[in-house]
Amino acid sequence: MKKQSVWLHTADIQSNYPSLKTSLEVDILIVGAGITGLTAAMQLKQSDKSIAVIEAHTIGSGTTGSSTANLYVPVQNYYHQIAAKFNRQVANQVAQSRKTAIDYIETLIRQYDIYCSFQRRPWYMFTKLPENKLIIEREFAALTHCELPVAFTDELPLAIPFSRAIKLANQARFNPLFYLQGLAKVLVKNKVQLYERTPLTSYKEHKDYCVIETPAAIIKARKLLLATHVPVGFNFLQMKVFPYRSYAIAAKLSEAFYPNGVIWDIDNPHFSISSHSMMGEALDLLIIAGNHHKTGQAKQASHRKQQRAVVAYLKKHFKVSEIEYEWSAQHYQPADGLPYIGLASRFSKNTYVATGYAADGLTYGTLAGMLLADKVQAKSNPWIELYKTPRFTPLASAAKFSKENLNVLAHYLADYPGSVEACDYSAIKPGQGKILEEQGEKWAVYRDKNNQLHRVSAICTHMKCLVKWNDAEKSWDCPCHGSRFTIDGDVIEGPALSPLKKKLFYRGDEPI
Amino acid sequence: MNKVSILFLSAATLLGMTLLLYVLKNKNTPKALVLNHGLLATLGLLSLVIYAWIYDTKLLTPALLFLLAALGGFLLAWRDWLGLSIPKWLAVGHGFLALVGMVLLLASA
Repeated sequence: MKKQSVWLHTADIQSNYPSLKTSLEVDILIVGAGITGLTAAMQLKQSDKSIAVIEAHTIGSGTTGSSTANLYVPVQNYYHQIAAKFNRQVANQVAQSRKTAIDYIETLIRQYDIYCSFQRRPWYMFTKLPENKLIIEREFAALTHCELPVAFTDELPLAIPFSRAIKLANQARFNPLFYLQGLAKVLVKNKVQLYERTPLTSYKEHKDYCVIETPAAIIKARKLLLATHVPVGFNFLQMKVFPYRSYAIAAKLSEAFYPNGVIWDIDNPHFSISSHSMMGEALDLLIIAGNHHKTGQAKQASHRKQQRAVVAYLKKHFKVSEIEYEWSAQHYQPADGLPYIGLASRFSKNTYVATGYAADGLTYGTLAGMLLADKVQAKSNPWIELYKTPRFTPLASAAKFSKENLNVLAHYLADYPGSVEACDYSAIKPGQGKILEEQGEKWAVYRDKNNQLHRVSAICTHMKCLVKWNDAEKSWDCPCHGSRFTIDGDVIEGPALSPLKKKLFYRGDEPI
Repeated sequence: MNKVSILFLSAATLLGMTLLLYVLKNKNTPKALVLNHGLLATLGLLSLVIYAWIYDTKLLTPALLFLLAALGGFLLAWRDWLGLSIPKWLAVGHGFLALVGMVLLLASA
C-alpha cells in the first residue's frame, strides 16, 4: 500500500520546472501552483502583464494532489444552511458560480486537449438514518431553488441500504494532477514563468508593489496572489478559517463493478464514496474519504485510528481486493460557510488571498482563481462581492467563530511549565512522537524505527502553539492554525513560513 | 476593592517575574503563563483605576505606571506571538515600571 494519493503516485511529479535562482521583477506573482494558482495564471496569461508562479514543492503536490478528484456543485456546508445563514439568493449565486467553475474546467480541457480522464457523472447524497431524512429533504429543496436538476432517487449505484437519497446529474471527475500539468504546459508556452521548489520565506507589501523573498532570490511584484490554501505568515483571516484533516483510501474491488458517481453518506461520520481510473478512462479504483477532525486533534485515540475507521467503512460495505493507496488531506472550514477570496486584509492594496474552501476545494479553487484574476485586472465579476474578503458577517459566523477560537485559546492555555507527554527519552518507543521538556523548553521528539531520535522545538513557528504528534502521517501538526512539519521540523503545509528549530544530540562535541 | 487590585496585581507580578526569566534566557514563554499574566494584570489594573477614580486619587500615580507597563506588555505579547524578537530592555522596562507601581501602591495602601 502506498502512503500517498493515487494522483501523486500516477503522475510524474518529479520537478519539471526550474527553481528560482536569480532575482526577478514581474507585474503579477502567484505563490502556489495548485488549482487556484494555475487557474488564476490561465486567466491572466492573455493580459499584457508579466506573470510568474512559484511553488514550494512541485505542481499540484499540495492539497490539489491530495484531493478526491471530484467536481460537483453541492457543498459540504449544504445549500439549505447557506440560505438560512444568508438568504436564498446567496445560495443560488454560490451554486451558479460553482457550476460555472466546473464548466470552465471542461472548456479548458477541451480547448487545450488536456488528457486528464475528465468525465461527467452524477452526484448522490444519502442517509441510512430516518432522523437525517430532513437534511436530505431540505437540501433537495435548496438545490431545486438553485435551479439544479436534482431528484429523489430509489436507487444508488452501490449496495448500501438507505432511507432517503437524492441525485444530481452532470457533475464530474478528473485527474487533478494531469489537469494541472496540462495547464502548466500551456502557461509556459504563453510566457508565464513557472518555478518549482521555490518556497516563499517572507513577503512585504509596500505602497505600489510587494517584495517577496525566497531562499535564493528576491521578487518584486506589483500584485501578489497568495494561492497557498491558507494565507501564509500572520493574517487575521486565520481566525476565520479552521484547519481539518480527513482521510482517504483507494482500493481495488474484487468485483468488476465500480459505482459511477460521487456519493455522500451524510451520517456521522460523513464519508464520500467515488470511483476513478488510475490511468485511462475505465473505472478501476474506489476512493472513500472522510472521518475528518480538527488538525492536530484526533477525535479517536490517535490519528491512525481515525484512518482505520475509513478502512473499516470500506470493508463493511464493499468486497475489497486490495487497498492500494492511503493518504490524508487538509481543508479549511470558513466561519460563515463561504470561502474568502479577495484582498489579504483591510490594509492590503496589492496582496490577494483565497481560502476557506472546506472540503470542496477543486471547484472552489478554480472559482477562486477566476475571481482573483478578474479582481487583479479590475474586471467586473458578479461573484466578487459574494466571496470578498475582508467581510463582516457576524450573524452567519458567530457560532463557529466562537467555538473554534475558544478551541485555539484552550490549546494556548494547555502550554504551561511541565505540560509534557514524556518525562525522558526512554518513555518514547520506536515509531512514537512525544513532547518533553528540557531546561524549561518544550521539544517535540520522535524515535524512528532505527531507534534514532529526532528532536525539534515543540513551538509552532507561526503563532507559538504547541504542536501535536500525528501518528498516521509521522508529522508534527499545529492544532491552532494547521501548520504541519516533518519529523525534522521542515514545513509541510499551513501558514508557518519557518521550520521548527532543530536541536541535535551530541556525543562529546560531535553531533549525532 | 483596593485589596482586590493588590491581590490581582501581586499574582500578575509573580507570573511576570517567571516570564521575565524565560525572556532573559531566550526561551519560549509558556503561553498559559502569558495569558494568565495578562488576564490578572488587566483585572488588577481595572479595579485599581476604578478605586482610585472614586475613592483615592493619590492611587492614580501607581495606576498610571501600571497603565504604561500594560502598554509595554501588550507590545511584548504581540511580538512574542508573531515570532518577532523580544527586546530584553523592553521586557525589563515593563517589569520595572510594574514593580515601581506595585511599591507605590503598597506604600499608599
